Amino acid sequence: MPELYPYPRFSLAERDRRWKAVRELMRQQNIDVIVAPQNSGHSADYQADTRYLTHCGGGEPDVAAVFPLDGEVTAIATSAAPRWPTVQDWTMDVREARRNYGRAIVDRLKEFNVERGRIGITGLGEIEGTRTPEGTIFYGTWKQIREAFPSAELVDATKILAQVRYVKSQEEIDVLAKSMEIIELAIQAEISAAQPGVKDWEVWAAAQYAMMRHGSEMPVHCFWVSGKNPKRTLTRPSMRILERGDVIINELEASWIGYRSQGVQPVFVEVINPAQAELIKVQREIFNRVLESLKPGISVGELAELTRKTAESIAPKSGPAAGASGDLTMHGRGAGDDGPIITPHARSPRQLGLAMQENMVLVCKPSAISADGEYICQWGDTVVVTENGGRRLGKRPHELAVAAG
Amino acid sequence: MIPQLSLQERDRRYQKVRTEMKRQGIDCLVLPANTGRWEQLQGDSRYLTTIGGFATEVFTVFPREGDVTAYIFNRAAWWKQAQRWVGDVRDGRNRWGENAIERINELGLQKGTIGISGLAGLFRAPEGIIPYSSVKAMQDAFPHAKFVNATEMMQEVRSVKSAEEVSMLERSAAIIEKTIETMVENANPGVSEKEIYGAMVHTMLANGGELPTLFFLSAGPGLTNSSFVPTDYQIQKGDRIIDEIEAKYGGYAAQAVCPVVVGAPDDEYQRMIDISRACFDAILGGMKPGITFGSLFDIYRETVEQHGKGKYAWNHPVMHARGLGDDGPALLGDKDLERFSKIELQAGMVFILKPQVRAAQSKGRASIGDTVVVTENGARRLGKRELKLIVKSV
Repeated sequence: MPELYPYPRFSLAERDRRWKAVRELMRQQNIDVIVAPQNSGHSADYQADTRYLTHCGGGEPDVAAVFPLDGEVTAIATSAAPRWPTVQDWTMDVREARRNYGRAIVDRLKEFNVERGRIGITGLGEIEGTRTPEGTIFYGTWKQIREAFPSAELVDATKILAQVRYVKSQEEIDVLAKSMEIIELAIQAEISAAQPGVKDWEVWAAAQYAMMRHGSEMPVHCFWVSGKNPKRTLTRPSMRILERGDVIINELEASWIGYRSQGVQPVFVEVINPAQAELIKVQREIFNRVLESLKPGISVGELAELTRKTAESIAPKSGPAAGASGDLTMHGRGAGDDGPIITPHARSPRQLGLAMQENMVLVCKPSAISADGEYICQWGDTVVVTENGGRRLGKRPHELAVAAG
Repeated sequence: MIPQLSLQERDRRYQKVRTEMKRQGIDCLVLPANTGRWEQLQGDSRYLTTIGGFATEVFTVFPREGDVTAYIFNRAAWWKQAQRWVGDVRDGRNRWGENAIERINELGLQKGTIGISGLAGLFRAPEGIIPYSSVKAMQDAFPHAKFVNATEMMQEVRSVKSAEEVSMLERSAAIIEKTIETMVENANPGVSEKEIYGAMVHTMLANGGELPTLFFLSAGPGLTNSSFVPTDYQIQKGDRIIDEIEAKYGGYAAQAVCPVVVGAPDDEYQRMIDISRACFDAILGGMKPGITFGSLFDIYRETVEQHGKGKYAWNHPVMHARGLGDDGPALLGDKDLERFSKIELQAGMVFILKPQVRAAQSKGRASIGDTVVVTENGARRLGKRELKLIVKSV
């Protein structure tokens, strides 16, 4: 085996746990082999299944996996030999694609005699992924598999990986806690850099630098916007010059071995908006009540309802937060494109009915919204579902941050 | 608030693409959203909308006649304000098949010829970038439409850059060189790869660079290759730092290959870098409109033979185009050489020129490189740094 680079890794026991769990479901569904296709889209979120099974990933290369019910697991990559055997010890069969992944997948599938078998494909598109309603396998890759195995049954295996990945092991939770630690260092850097006269882009750069020097991989998904009263983040910073009274709102992720927690932390430049100062009290109470209720068995729909009712019951009768409403946004955290998800726009009955399970990890980021809709206060942390309620992975105080200048 | 291109540039592109669509009988182009490979794979969609960056997925429907439509996941309102090229920006929630069907129905092109750029044949994604189920949805919705692959058409349109595009690439090259200064400053014994990497990204972003961007860096004794992820490895005296550095400005990415040795270089490595530099100069000298890629490759081979004297040989890659991502022509391997050997260079083509040299009797290899633009009078570098092996004294 080649010498491994100094890079954080999961244990072999973690590998065996995952493989066993996936194979149990494959056996139940009579699936002979699963193909997890290459697709480095959305900051490599769309390729999370491959990395979950092979431990090959990081940066944004294309990597596919062939995962049999019985037999050796294969990772397929371009420049495979120099790059992937040196960063992980899970998958010994690393094969060269030379960018033709479909061909390499077909070659490997032929070794399993599945001409009339049942081939599972994650991201086939028949079952919606969290952010991939039309799947992740490229037409050209699918076509090669279909043509090579005309008598095989191609089935969507998205649900199998989603189900296994919903519940995190202790190793995964530890890794997500490390990711959260890096995010909070980035938030500190953001607070230090955000001063009047400084470019929004430079503050973003300071936050990204803090992440990378503390071990985050790139790319990561980080949303961001600054202004007097921005209501929604963008996917990018701008060249805007910060002024006293501005606020930067964000969704920051850091990637530790590919695992991304998330933090949401409004940062005000020198002075906090008075309406936001009142709304954060409502928001904090909503967050805490949701956190208390994050126990196995509660459904996503019940949590959304709890948010709305909490806001109704605690919103003050007067002042800027009078009549404030609450909205819950939560989604799974992990290796990428994790579920379940609840947002004001993504509430399918299937997802609303989903019950929490112990050791699910989600970002919990409810909003408190002023009665006139003019102000939205959102704060969030990554949390673990436990028997006793949710547990935060972050350690920073639940409050609006002020960059003192 | 973000880098912009002019409306004249938009009109130039639209006219060029529509002329080619007419020639090929294409009624409507579908340009997929995929931010994979550091957002290189979405170059076509961004080329016709300017929308993108920071992993913004943009799916574009571009008719030969009529308004262009861009589908964003959920931030259409902002993008309507942030750019001036496309007025019809919609929230599409990544339901790209549904999005395309909606717009094609509006355009009345149910029986038309639909060109999909990204169906197959990208340089770094030969199997394309459009999901199987998106294609199936369109085929099912429009059984009388004809679907064709428009990938090569877009590659050809994008291969020649306008003056505005070259100026964006010059900005990118300038950011890269600031990043290189940061690398050299931080390349000291005891400093980890991650720390250097982070500092370089900080410089890149603080000077207007965009994420995600392809940027590899590895340090170690006798290294010949960089890895995708920086590690905790701490630099030691005598190490090499091998890199491939891109910085994006408005989506445009030049590239530099800038090896560094911490302490004194070994003779063989220095020799290979010197030969790579000789090849760079010889090829640059030969680059002018009308010369074929095959002739440039001959110059490369002859220069290595002349300077290498049998001890060193040529190796892929030698050059590939720069721009918004997955640009062509690209000489990445033997098949590309076969495909492009008789194709002529044109003024406005931009390449990373990084001739690689390998040792005939060992695994050693090395390259040095910079981004260059072909002009009517020959080619010129976009970078300004001295092109040499950087030796950091410690």
